Amino acid sequence: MKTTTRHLLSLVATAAFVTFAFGSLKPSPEEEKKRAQEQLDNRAVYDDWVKKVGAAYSLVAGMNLAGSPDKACDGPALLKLAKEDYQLRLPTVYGPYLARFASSNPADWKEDKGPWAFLTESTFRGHFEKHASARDAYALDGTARMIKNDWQKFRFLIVLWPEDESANRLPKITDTRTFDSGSFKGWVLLLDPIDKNVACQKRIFVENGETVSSNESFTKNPQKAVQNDFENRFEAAIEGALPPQVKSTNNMGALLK
Amino acid sequence: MRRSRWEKRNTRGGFFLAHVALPLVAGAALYLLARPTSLVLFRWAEMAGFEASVARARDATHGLLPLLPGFVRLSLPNALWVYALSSLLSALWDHRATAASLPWLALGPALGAGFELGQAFGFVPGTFDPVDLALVLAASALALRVPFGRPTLASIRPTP
Repeated sequence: MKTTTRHLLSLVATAAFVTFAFGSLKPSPEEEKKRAQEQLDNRAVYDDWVKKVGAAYSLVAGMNLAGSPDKACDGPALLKLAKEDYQLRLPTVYGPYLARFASSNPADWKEDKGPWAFLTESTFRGHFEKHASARDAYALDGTARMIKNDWQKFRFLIVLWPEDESANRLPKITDTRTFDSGSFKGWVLLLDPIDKNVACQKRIFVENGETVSSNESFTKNPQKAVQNDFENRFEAAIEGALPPQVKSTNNMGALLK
Repeated sequence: MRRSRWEKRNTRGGFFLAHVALPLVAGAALYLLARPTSLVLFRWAEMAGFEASVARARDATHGLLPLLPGFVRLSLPNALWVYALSSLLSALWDHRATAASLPWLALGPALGAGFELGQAFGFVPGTFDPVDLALVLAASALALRVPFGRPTLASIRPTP
Protein backbone atom coordinates (compact mmCIF):
# COMPACT_ATOMS: atom_id res chain seq x y z
CA MET A 1 0.00 0.00 0.00
CA LYS A 2 1.36 3.43 -0.90
CA THR A 3 2.14 5.88 1.88
CA THR A 4 -0.33 8.39 0.43
CA THR A 5 -3.07 5.78 0.54
CA ARG A 6 -2.21 5.00 4.17
CA HIS A 7 -2.44 8.71 5.03
CA LEU A 8 -5.77 8.97 3.27
CA LEU A 9 -7.22 5.87 4.93
CA SER A 10 -5.97 7.04 8.33
CA LEU A 11 -7.70 10.37 7.79
CA VAL A 12 -10.96 8.70 6.78
CA ALA A 13 -10.79 6.28 9.74
CA THR A 14 -10.13 9.10 12.20
CA ALA A 15 -12.96 11.18 10.76
CA ALA A 16 -15.34 8.23 11.03
CA PHE A 17 -14.34 7.59 14.64
CA VAL A 18 -14.67 11.25 15.59
CA THR A 19 -18.14 11.33 13.99
CA PHE A 20 -19.05 8.22 15.94
CA ALA A 21 -17.87 9.92 19.14
CA PHE A 22 -20.46 12.67 18.59
CA GLY A 23 -23.04 10.02 19.40
CA SER A 24 -22.02 10.25 23.04
CA LEU A 25 -22.91 13.93 23.18
CA LYS A 26 -25.93 15.19 25.01
CA PRO A 27 -28.56 17.00 22.94
CA SER A 28 -29.27 20.69 23.43
CA PRO A 29 -31.17 21.61 26.64
CA GLU A 30 -34.26 22.41 24.53
CA GLU A 31 -34.11 19.02 22.82
CA GLU A 32 -33.56 17.32 26.17
CA LYS A 33 -36.56 19.13 27.65
CA LYS A 34 -38.67 18.14 24.65
CA ARG A 35 -37.65 14.48 25.02
CA ALA A 36 -38.41 14.51 28.73
CA GLN A 37 -41.88 15.92 28.05
CA GLU A 38 -42.43 13.32 25.32
CA GLN A 39 -41.51 10.61 27.78
CA LEU A 40 -44.02 11.94 30.31
CA ASP A 41 -46.74 12.11 27.63
CA ASN A 42 -45.95 8.59 26.49
CA ARG A 43 -46.19 7.29 30.03
CA ALA A 44 -49.61 8.92 30.36
CA VAL A 45 -50.75 7.26 27.11
CA TYR A 46 -49.47 3.90 28.36
CA ASP A 47 -51.12 4.17 31.78
CA ASP A 48 -54.41 5.34 30.32
CA TRP A 49 -54.64 2.58 27.72
CA VAL A 50 -53.61 -0.16 30.16
CA LYS A 51 -56.32 1.04 32.53
CA LYS A 52 -58.91 0.99 29.76
CA VAL A 53 -57.95 -2.50 28.61
CA GLY A 54 -58.03 -3.66 32.23
CA ALA A 55 -61.55 -2.26 32.65
CA ALA A 56 -62.69 -3.86 29.38
CA TYR A 57 -61.22 -7.20 30.48
CA SER A 58 -63.05 -7.01 33.82
CA LEU A 59 -66.27 -6.39 31.93
CA VAL A 60 -65.85 -9.51 29.79
CA ALA A 61 -64.70 -11.60 32.75
CA GLY A 62 -67.89 -10.63 34.55
CA MET A 63 -70.17 -11.44 31.60
CA ASN A 64 -72.06 -14.70 31.29
CA LEU A 65 -70.95 -15.49 27.78
CA ALA A 66 -72.25 -19.05 27.92
CA GLY A 67 -75.82 -17.96 27.48
CA SER A 68 -75.27 -15.04 25.16
CA PRO A 69 -75.92 -15.28 21.43
CA ASP A 70 -73.54 -14.28 18.64
CA LYS A 71 -73.47 -10.59 17.84
CA ALA A 72 -72.52 -9.95 14.24
CA CYS A 73 -69.73 -7.51 13.41
CA ASP A 74 -70.73 -4.54 11.33
CA GLY A 75 -67.55 -3.90 9.33
CA PRO A 76 -68.38 -0.39 8.06
CA ALA A 77 -69.54 0.68 11.54
CA LEU A 78 -66.29 -0.60 13.07
CA LEU A 79 -64.28 1.35 10.48
CA LYS A 80 -66.27 4.46 11.29
CA LEU A 81 -65.70 4.07 15.02
CA ALA A 82 -61.96 3.63 14.48
CA LYS A 83 -61.95 6.52 11.97
CA GLU A 84 -60.38 4.32 9.33
CA ASP A 85 -61.36 4.16 5.67
CA TYR A 86 -60.28 0.76 4.49
CA GLN A 87 -59.18 -1.86 6.98
CA LEU A 88 -58.46 -2.50 10.66
CA ARG A 89 -55.36 -4.57 11.40
CA LEU A 90 -55.79 -5.85 14.92
CA PRO A 91 -53.76 -8.06 17.25
CA THR A 92 -55.28 -11.24 18.60
CA VAL A 93 -55.08 -11.75 22.36
CA TYR A 94 -55.86 -14.83 24.42
CA GLY A 95 -58.51 -13.62 26.90
CA PRO A 96 -56.82 -14.72 30.15
CA TYR A 97 -53.64 -12.90 29.07
CA LEU A 98 -55.53 -9.64 29.57
CA ALA A 99 -56.05 -10.33 33.28
CA ARG A 100 -52.78 -8.55 34.04
CA PHE A 101 -54.18 -5.29 32.68
CA ALA A 102 -56.73 -5.31 35.48
CA SER A 103 -54.20 -6.23 38.15
CA SER A 104 -52.15 -3.86 40.25
CA ASN A 105 -49.81 -6.66 41.31
CA PRO A 106 -46.55 -6.41 39.26
CA ALA A 107 -46.03 -10.17 39.75
CA ASP A 108 -49.03 -10.82 37.47
CA TRP A 109 -47.10 -9.28 34.58
CA LYS A 110 -44.95 -12.10 33.32
CA GLU A 111 -44.16 -14.06 30.21
CA ASP A 112 -47.03 -16.25 29.04
CA LYS A 113 -45.55 -19.74 28.99
CA GLY A 114 -48.92 -21.43 28.74
CA PRO A 115 -50.02 -23.63 25.83
CA TRP A 116 -52.27 -20.92 24.40
CA ALA A 117 -49.61 -18.21 24.25
CA PHE A 118 -49.58 -18.51 20.45
CA LEU A 119 -53.04 -16.99 20.38
CA THR A 120 -51.65 -13.67 21.55
CA GLU A 121 -49.84 -11.86 18.78
CA SER A 122 -46.12 -12.00 19.56
CA THR A 123 -45.47 -8.23 19.35
CA PHE A 124 -48.37 -7.48 21.64
CA ARG A 125 -47.28 -10.24 24.03
CA GLY A 126 -43.70 -8.96 24.13
CA HIS A 127 -44.75 -5.46 25.12
CA PHE A 128 -46.69 -6.53 28.19
CA GLU A 129 -44.52 -9.22 29.74
CA LYS A 130 -43.33 -6.95 32.52
CA HIS A 131 -45.07 -4.44 34.73
CA ALA A 132 -44.27 -0.81 33.91
CA SER A 133 -42.41 -0.45 37.21
CA ALA A 134 -39.95 -3.17 36.16
CA ARG A 135 -39.36 -1.78 32.67
CA ASP A 136 -36.85 0.55 31.14
CA ALA A 137 -38.30 4.00 30.38
CA TYR A 138 -37.03 3.91 26.78
CA ALA A 139 -38.70 0.53 26.20
CA LEU A 140 -41.91 1.82 27.76
CA ASP A 141 -41.72 4.72 25.31
CA GLY A 142 -41.67 2.19 22.48
CA THR A 143 -44.75 0.46 23.88
CA ALA A 144 -46.55 3.80 24.20
CA ARG A 145 -45.76 4.54 20.55
CA MET A 146 -47.17 1.14 19.54
CA ILE A 147 -50.31 1.92 21.53
CA LYS A 148 -50.70 5.31 19.86
CA ASN A 149 -49.84 4.23 16.32
CA ASP A 150 -51.46 0.81 16.24
CA TRP A 151 -53.54 -0.53 19.07
CA GLN A 152 -55.28 2.67 20.08
CA LYS A 153 -55.45 3.91 16.51
CA PHE A 154 -57.28 0.78 15.35
CA ARG A 155 -59.27 0.86 18.56
CA PHE A 156 -60.26 -2.82 18.93
CA LEU A 157 -58.59 -6.01 20.09
CA ILE A 158 -59.49 -9.46 18.78
CA VAL A 159 -59.90 -11.42 21.99
CA LEU A 160 -60.04 -15.22 21.97
CA TRP A 161 -62.02 -16.11 25.02
CA PRO A 162 -62.15 -19.75 26.18
CA GLU A 163 -65.43 -21.23 27.32
CA ASP A 164 -63.62 -23.48 29.79
CA GLU A 165 -59.84 -23.18 29.94
CA SER A 166 -59.38 -26.63 31.42
CA ALA A 167 -61.48 -28.35 28.76
CA ASN A 168 -59.56 -26.90 25.82
CA ARG A 169 -56.51 -28.83 24.68
CA LEU A 170 -53.77 -28.74 22.09
CA PRO A 171 -53.34 -31.62 19.62
CA LYS A 172 -51.06 -34.41 20.77
CA ILE A 173 -49.31 -37.22 18.94
CA THR A 174 -50.31 -40.55 20.43
CA ASP A 175 -48.51 -42.96 18.14
CA THR A 176 -46.33 -42.78 15.05
CA ARG A 177 -49.34 -42.16 12.84
CA THR A 178 -52.17 -41.13 15.17
CA PHE A 179 -52.97 -38.10 17.26
CA ASP A 180 -55.54 -36.67 19.63
CA SER A 181 -57.20 -33.68 18.04
CA GLY A 182 -56.78 -30.28 19.58
CA SER A 183 -59.96 -28.61 20.74
CA PHE A 184 -60.87 -25.04 21.57
CA LYS A 185 -64.36 -23.96 22.45
CA GLY A 186 -64.87 -20.29 23.03
CA TRP A 187 -65.53 -16.95 21.41
CA VAL A 188 -63.94 -14.45 19.12
CA LEU A 189 -64.71 -11.07 20.69
CA LEU A 190 -63.97 -7.69 19.26
CA LEU A 191 -63.16 -5.77 22.40
CA ASP A 192 -63.40 -1.99 22.42
CA PRO A 193 -61.32 -0.68 25.33
CA ILE A 194 -62.18 2.93 24.50
CA ASP A 195 -65.93 2.48 24.99
CA LYS A 196 -65.43 -0.45 27.34
CA ASN A 197 -67.70 -2.86 25.48
CA VAL A 198 -67.75 -5.87 23.20
CA ALA A 199 -68.43 -4.63 19.68
CA CYS A 200 -69.27 -8.09 18.37
CA GLN A 201 -68.86 -11.72 19.30
CA LYS A 202 -68.99 -15.10 17.63
CA ARG A 203 -68.77 -18.53 19.11
CA ILE A 204 -66.03 -20.72 17.63
CA PHE A 205 -65.08 -24.35 17.89
CA VAL A 206 -61.68 -25.28 16.52
CA GLU A 207 -60.31 -28.78 16.14
CA ASN A 208 -57.90 -30.63 13.89
CA GLY A 209 -58.95 -32.31 10.68
CA GLU A 210 -59.51 -36.07 10.57
CA THR A 211 -56.17 -36.46 8.89
CA VAL A 212 -53.14 -34.21 8.81
CA SER A 213 -50.87 -34.36 5.82
CA SER A 214 -47.58 -32.63 5.63
CA ASN A 215 -44.74 -32.78 3.14
CA GLU A 216 -41.68 -33.07 5.33
CA SER A 217 -42.47 -32.01 8.81
CA PHE A 218 -44.72 -34.95 9.65
CA THR A 219 -41.96 -37.52 9.62
CA LYS A 220 -39.44 -35.06 11.06
CA ASN A 221 -41.66 -33.55 13.69
CA PRO A 222 -45.21 -34.95 13.77
CA GLN A 223 -46.15 -32.86 16.82
CA LYS A 224 -45.31 -29.72 14.88
CA ALA A 225 -47.33 -30.89 11.90
CA VAL A 226 -50.52 -31.41 13.94
CA GLN A 227 -49.92 -28.14 15.82
CA ASN A 228 -49.56 -26.30 12.47
CA ASP A 229 -52.78 -27.85 11.25
CA PHE A 230 -54.54 -26.73 14.44
CA GLU A 231 -53.17 -23.19 14.16
CA ASN A 232 -54.19 -22.98 10.49
CA ARG A 233 -57.71 -23.98 11.40
CA PHE A 234 -57.69 -21.51 14.28
CA GLU A 235 -56.69 -18.74 11.92
CA ALA A 236 -59.43 -19.73 9.49
CA ALA A 237 -61.98 -19.70 12.33
CA ILE A 238 -60.89 -16.20 13.36
CA GLU A 239 -61.02 -14.97 9.76
CA GLY A 240 -64.46 -16.47 9.39
CA ALA A 241 -65.73 -14.73 12.50
CA LEU A 242 -64.64 -11.28 11.38
CA PRO A 243 -65.93 -9.00 8.64
CA PRO A 244 -63.65 -8.43 5.62
CA GLN A 245 -62.74 -4.99 6.96
CA VAL A 246 -61.01 -6.54 9.99
CA LYS A 247 -57.77 -8.49 9.70
CA SER A 248 -55.71 -10.21 12.35
CA THR A 249 -52.01 -9.36 12.62
CA ASN A 250 -51.22 -12.70 14.26
CA ASN A 251 -49.30 -14.85 11.79
CA MET A 252 -49.90 -18.13 13.59
CA GLY A 253 -51.53 -19.80 10.61
CA ALA A 254 -50.63 -20.42 7.00
CA LEU A 255 -52.73 -17.60 5.55
CA LEU A 256 -50.35 -14.85 6.60
CA LYS A 257 -47.11 -16.83 6.49
CA MET B 1 8.95 -15.61 4.53
CA ARG B 2 8.52 -16.60 8.16
CA ARG B 3 5.80 -14.80 10.08
CA SER B 4 5.73 -14.11 13.80
CA ARG B 5 3.18 -15.95 15.96
CA TRP B 6 1.39 -12.65 16.52
CA GLU B 7 1.07 -12.08 12.77
CA LYS B 8 -0.22 -15.61 12.18
CA ARG B 9 -2.94 -15.10 14.76
CA ASN B 10 -3.95 -11.78 13.27
CA THR B 11 -5.08 -12.03 9.69
CA ARG B 12 -6.36 -8.72 8.34
CA GLY B 13 -10.06 -9.60 8.64
CA GLY B 14 -9.63 -11.31 11.99
CA PHE B 15 -7.66 -8.38 13.35
CA PHE B 16 -10.29 -5.88 12.22
CA LEU B 17 -13.05 -7.94 13.78
CA ALA B 18 -11.34 -8.58 17.11
CA HIS B 19 -9.50 -5.31 17.67
CA VAL B 20 -11.65 -2.73 15.88
CA ALA B 21 -15.24 -3.86 15.28
CA LEU B 22 -15.74 -5.80 18.50
CA PRO B 23 -14.48 -3.07 20.89
CA LEU B 24 -16.50 -0.49 18.99
CA VAL B 25 -19.68 -2.56 19.15
CA ALA B 26 -19.07 -3.35 22.84
CA GLY B 27 -18.62 0.35 23.62
CA ALA B 28 -21.74 1.31 21.66
CA ALA B 29 -23.69 -1.46 23.39
CA LEU B 30 -22.67 -0.14 26.81
CA TYR B 31 -23.84 3.30 25.76
CA LEU B 32 -27.13 2.03 24.38
CA LEU B 33 -27.89 -0.22 27.32
CA ALA B 34 -26.61 1.68 30.30
CA ARG B 35 -26.68 5.40 29.49
CA PRO B 36 -29.51 7.94 29.50
CA THR B 37 -31.56 7.78 26.33
CA SER B 38 -31.24 11.47 25.62
CA LEU B 39 -27.81 10.94 24.01
CA VAL B 40 -27.44 11.59 20.30
CA LEU B 41 -26.54 7.92 19.70
CA PHE B 42 -30.16 6.98 20.46
CA ARG B 43 -31.47 9.30 17.75
CA TRP B 44 -29.09 7.62 15.31
CA ALA B 45 -30.30 4.18 16.38
CA GLU B 46 -33.90 5.35 15.85
CA MET B 47 -33.09 6.75 12.41
CA ALA B 48 -31.43 3.46 11.48
CA GLY B 49 -34.58 1.58 12.53
CA PHE B 50 -33.04 -0.09 15.60
CA GLU B 51 -35.37 1.55 18.10
CA ALA B 52 -37.37 -1.58 18.84
CA SER B 53 -34.25 -3.73 19.19
CA VAL B 54 -32.60 -1.22 21.53
CA ALA B 55 -35.81 -0.98 23.56
CA ARG B 56 -36.04 -4.77 23.85
CA ALA B 57 -32.39 -5.03 24.86
CA ARG B 58 -32.75 -2.28 27.47
CA ASP B 59 -35.88 -3.96 28.80
CA ALA B 60 -34.13 -7.32 29.00
CA THR B 61 -31.13 -5.91 30.83
CA HIS B 62 -33.11 -3.49 32.98
CA GLY B 63 -32.09 -3.94 36.58
CA LEU B 64 -28.96 -5.92 35.67
CA LEU B 65 -26.70 -3.19 34.33
CA PRO B 66 -26.68 -1.13 37.52
CA LEU B 67 -24.95 -4.17 39.04
CA LEU B 68 -21.94 -3.60 36.79
CA PRO B 69 -19.09 -1.61 38.33
CA GLY B 70 -19.34 2.09 37.60
CA PHE B 71 -16.12 2.20 35.60
CA VAL B 72 -17.47 -0.44 33.18
CA ARG B 73 -20.61 1.59 32.49
CA LEU B 74 -19.05 5.03 32.52
CA SER B 75 -15.37 4.81 31.57
CA LEU B 76 -14.93 1.64 29.54
CA PRO B 77 -16.81 2.80 26.40
CA ASN B 78 -14.34 5.68 25.85
CA ALA B 79 -11.39 3.37 26.43
CA LEU B 80 -12.81 0.87 23.92
CA TRP B 81 -13.22 3.68 21.38
CA VAL B 82 -9.57 4.70 21.82
CA TYR B 83 -8.46 1.06 21.62
CA ALA B 84 -10.39 0.49 18.37
CA LEU B 85 -9.12 3.69 16.74
CA SER B 86 -5.50 3.09 17.79
CA SER B 87 -5.65 -0.53 16.64
CA LEU B 88 -7.09 0.47 13.26
CA LEU B 89 -4.48 3.17 12.68
CA SER B 90 -1.74 0.80 13.79
CA ALA B 91 -2.99 -1.85 11.33
CA LEU B 92 -3.17 0.70 8.50
CA TRP B 93 0.54 1.33 9.08
CA ASP B 94 1.41 -2.38 9.33
CA HIS B 95 1.97 -2.04 13.08
CA ARG B 96 5.25 -0.23 12.50
CA ALA B 97 6.41 2.92 14.18
CA THR B 98 7.99 5.01 11.45
CA ALA B 99 8.37 8.72 10.87
CA ALA B 100 5.29 8.67 8.64
CA SER B 101 3.13 6.53 10.93
CA LEU B 102 4.04 8.16 14.27
CA PRO B 103 1.61 11.11 14.08
CA TRP B 104 -1.25 8.72 13.27
CA LEU B 105 -0.27 6.27 15.99
CA ALA B 106 -0.20 9.11 18.49
CA LEU B 107 -3.59 10.41 17.37
CA GLY B 108 -5.75 7.81 19.21
CA PRO B 109 -4.18 8.39 22.64
CA ALA B 110 -4.00 12.14 21.99
CA LEU B 111 -7.70 12.37 21.14
CA GLY B 112 -8.73 10.16 24.06
CA ALA B 113 -6.52 11.86 26.64
CA GLY B 114 -7.20 15.29 25.14
CA PHE B 115 -10.93 14.78 25.51
CA GLU B 116 -10.51 13.83 29.18
CA LEU B 117 -8.04 16.63 29.95
CA GLY B 118 -10.28 19.05 28.08
CA GLN B 119 -12.98 18.20 30.59
CA ALA B 120 -10.53 18.87 33.45
CA PHE B 121 -9.78 22.34 32.07
CA GLY B 122 -13.35 23.07 31.04
CA PHE B 123 -12.81 23.07 27.24
CA VAL B 124 -14.96 20.02 26.74
CA PRO B 125 -18.42 19.53 28.29
CA GLY B 126 -18.54 16.83 30.96
CA THR B 127 -16.89 15.95 34.23
CA PHE B 128 -13.24 14.95 34.43
CA ASP B 129 -12.67 11.54 35.95
CA PRO B 130 -9.13 10.22 36.54
CA VAL B 131 -10.42 6.66 36.00
CA ASP B 132 -11.48 7.66 32.47
CA LEU B 133 -8.00 9.01 31.76
CA ALA B 134 -6.26 5.96 33.23
CA LEU B 135 -8.39 3.58 31.16
CA VAL B 136 -7.84 5.61 27.98
CA LEU B 137 -4.07 5.48 28.49
CA ALA B 138 -4.17 1.75 29.29
CA ALA B 139 -6.25 1.10 26.17
CA SER B 140 -3.78 3.09 24.05
CA ALA B 141 -0.83 1.18 25.48
CA LEU B 142 -2.57 -2.12 24.80
CA ALA B 143 -3.45 -1.20 21.23
CA LEU B 144 0.00 0.16 20.41
CA ARG B 145 1.97 -2.59 22.14
CA VAL B 146 3.05 -4.06 18.81
CA PRO B 147 4.47 -1.03 16.99
CA PHE B 148 6.06 0.34 20.14
CA GLY B 149 6.69 -2.82 22.08
CA ARG B 150 8.36 -6.11 21.27
CA PRO B 151 9.68 -5.95 17.67
CA THR B 152 8.04 -8.38 15.28
CA LEU B 153 9.51 -9.73 12.06
CA ALA B 154 7.35 -7.24 10.23
CA SER B 155 8.73 -4.31 12.16
CA ILE B 156 12.37 -5.19 11.52
CA ARG B 157 11.78 -5.90 7.86
CA PRO B 158 13.69 -3.29 5.85
CA THR B 159 11.43 -0.65 4.37
CA PRO B 160 11.45 -0.93 0.59
